[in-house]
Amino acid sequence: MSGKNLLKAIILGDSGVGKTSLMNQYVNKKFSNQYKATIGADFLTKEVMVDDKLITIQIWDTAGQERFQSLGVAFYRGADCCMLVYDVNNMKSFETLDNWRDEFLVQASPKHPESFPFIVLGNKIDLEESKRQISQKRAMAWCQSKGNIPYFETSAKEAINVEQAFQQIARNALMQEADVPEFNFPPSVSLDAEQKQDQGDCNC
Amino acid sequence: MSNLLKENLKKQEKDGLSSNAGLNLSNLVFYNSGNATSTLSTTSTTIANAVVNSTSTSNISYSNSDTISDIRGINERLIRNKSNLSNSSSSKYTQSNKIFDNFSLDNLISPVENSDIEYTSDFGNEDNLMKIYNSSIYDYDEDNMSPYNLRKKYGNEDLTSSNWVKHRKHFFILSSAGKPIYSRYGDESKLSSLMGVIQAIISFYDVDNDEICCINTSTHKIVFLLKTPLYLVCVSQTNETEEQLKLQLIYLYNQILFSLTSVQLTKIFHDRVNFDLRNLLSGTEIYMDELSRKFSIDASFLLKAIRSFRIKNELRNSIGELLNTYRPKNILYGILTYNDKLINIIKPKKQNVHPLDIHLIINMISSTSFRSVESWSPICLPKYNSRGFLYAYVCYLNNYKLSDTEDSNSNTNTNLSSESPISPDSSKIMKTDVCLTLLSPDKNAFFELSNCKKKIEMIFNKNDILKNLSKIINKAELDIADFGIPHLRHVIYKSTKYLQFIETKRLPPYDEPSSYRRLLRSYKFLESKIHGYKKNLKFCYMLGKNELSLLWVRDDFELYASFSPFISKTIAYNDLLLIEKWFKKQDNLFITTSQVF
Ligand SMILES: Nc1nc2c(ncn2[C@@H]2O[C@H](COP(=O)(O)OP(=O)(O)OP(=O)(O)O)[C@@H](O)[C@H]2O)c(=O)[nH]1
Ligand SMILES: [Mg+2]
Repeated sequence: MSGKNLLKAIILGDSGVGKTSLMNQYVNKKFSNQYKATIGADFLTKEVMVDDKLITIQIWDTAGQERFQSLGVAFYRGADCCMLVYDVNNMKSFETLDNWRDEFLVQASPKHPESFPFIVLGNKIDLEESKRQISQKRAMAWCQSKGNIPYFETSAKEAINVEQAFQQIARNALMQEADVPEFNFPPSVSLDAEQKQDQGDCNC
Repeated sequence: MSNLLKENLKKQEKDGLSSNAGLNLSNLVFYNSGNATSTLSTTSTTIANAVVNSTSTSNISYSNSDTISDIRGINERLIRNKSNLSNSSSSKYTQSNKIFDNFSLDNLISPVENSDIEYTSDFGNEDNLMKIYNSSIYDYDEDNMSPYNLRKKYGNEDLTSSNWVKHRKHFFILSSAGKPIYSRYGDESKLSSLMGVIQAIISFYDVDNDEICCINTSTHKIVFLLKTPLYLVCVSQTNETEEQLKLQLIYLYNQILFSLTSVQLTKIFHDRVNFDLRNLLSGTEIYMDELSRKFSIDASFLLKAIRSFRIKNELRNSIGELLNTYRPKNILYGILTYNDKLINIIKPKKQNVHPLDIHLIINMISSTSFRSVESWSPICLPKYNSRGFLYAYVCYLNNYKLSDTEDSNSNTNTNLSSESPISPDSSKIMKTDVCLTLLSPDKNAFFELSNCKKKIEMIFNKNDILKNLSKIINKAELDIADFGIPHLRHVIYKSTKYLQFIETKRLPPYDEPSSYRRLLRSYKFLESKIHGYKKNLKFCYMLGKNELSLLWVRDDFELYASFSPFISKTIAYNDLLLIEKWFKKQDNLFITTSQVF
């Protein structure tokens, strides 16, 4: 594929799991302990090099809280990859991953759902071990069962694995990109065919 | 979306604003303020307000590129608390543009009953009029810059560039998935967050099967053209109207069809919604850049008419006849142009010509350096047939003396078809600005058309056509002196029947691009008043510091004129009648009977 490469990456997951924080850590190298719910969506752009290619990642951070999900189906349209985020210290956020994934596949309806580039992030691994509710093993088993989705354990706070996760999803998405659609040259017009007459035609 | 949710959003939005007003605004909240106590009762989905809500991460200060806070500026401009939206289903459309609040020409126009001529009755508010002028003056040096240099200068800007937000008019094109395709200024990749915001705004209405058309703020007008799979958006501070800006977006859309055809555009995005269209359009950005630039300095687009070349009828006709006699078998149009002016066109009998298609062809010719080569490219004429390609052969004609002088004296009607074209004496070749464009449906017709061009070039030389053309080129432009009217500075005359127009030479002060731009802006203002006025308004004028400009519209013509600001409207009006009489007497302005086959 020539010249320009842009990936639309969507981040999904329950409210408070750290979607916005991960994006901010990745793009701005900043973290805040404050929580402000995302309303509608947030957008950031980041340029990265993946295998000698300059890629622009257009990151679409969504609202985890249902009442703020006001943007509808069109929003998911044409996504190149999807990040599913849960909080390793929060059982519910792990259990809803299935819903997020299904919802995405329904809404975005990608051509090849089985091979669509997902990635799963288990976030907030910086907190004490005692708080942890989902083991790495369990998470990986789930990923395996969904067609070998790559799995990363991350911390937006300590910047653990954030860079790597985005790098991975970009690479996977680019691999999908490899099957370029055929450029079909459209037919020439036939001069004999009656063309519909437009109002604004010139009488010259 | 339930009402409850909307209530929630509203509440959230209020809370957010009160505590964080002015901080990082990254999230968008839209709510239907008129919903509960519907003031605008005509439709169910009248959206009166758009609000940017403040949100998380407010204590983070961003400094590097493409951050949330950078989008803020745009969001703030895009969506203001007090901004009004007009949407397709909204029949009530209020305008909150400050300039128009302070000064409304509507108030000054006193309709005269039973008369087709109406004019402003009061000069009163000159300060306000001057405000319009001042606000529309460009301070950029863009006019004298080539599109290449323009890209070089502004091409790397992004949301953080302080200059970027200052541009008077932005154009954005994105896919319905929100991927960037084109931005007039800046690197569209770096603007992809903004493209996401735009897509989000559009989807918000899409959910309710609604379409957003325009957002008016006190300083900006944001116009949307939704042509799924493409979205086109204009963000303007130029005081042009929604209709005028929409027309410009339509031109840009058609420019994309020009390169791709509608069939291909639909198919690409049907196969892959996430397609990055920039890869197919690379190389055509220059056409978009040039169009965007010309909207402000070329009247053709406002007038939706073809600029014609003034030339004696006999000469125009004999050119047409020659073109028709020597035309290739299988073509759609044969077009002869001089710079951006149409000299003549030949076409099939049952086929009309649409000015918009001609504008795109002329834009292609003038945007590229075709000068010394014969060019051959697939193009699509959206108004003629948006579904298929035609092949355009474009070449400038040379003026030369035939090496065989004896031959040039012989009968000019020699049948050339049997002879091979005589090669001209290379030392006497003179390039001209006369350009021949032939459109064929056959992609293998290049050599046929190329031969045909040689024949036409030769027969033109034999008949001294090019020589005669070059002789009159100085006289072809309308001179203000021709009218013999003092204080008259500029005139545009458009024939509504032929959809062609002619304009006077740009003499001082309009030889300055910025002055001319201002003049055009005032014409646009008059045009919007005439066409936007409820009653059948025929005449409108505007007095400013720099000129008195007028527009007179009748069924068969539109006449724009500009005078010195020191003469009275009565004098100007009487002069206008004289000018019109003068035009009526001319028979060399327009292509009235083109050759058909
Ligand atoms: N300790 C720790 N806290 C985190 C981490 N990531 C996020 N947080 C905190 O979790 C809270 C929620 O983070 P957000 O990024 O706003 O969550 P979100 O997923 O965007 O939530 P919604 O916008 O409502 O969908 C914030 O208080 C963050 O400071 C992490 O890796 N470690
Ligand atoms: Mg968030």
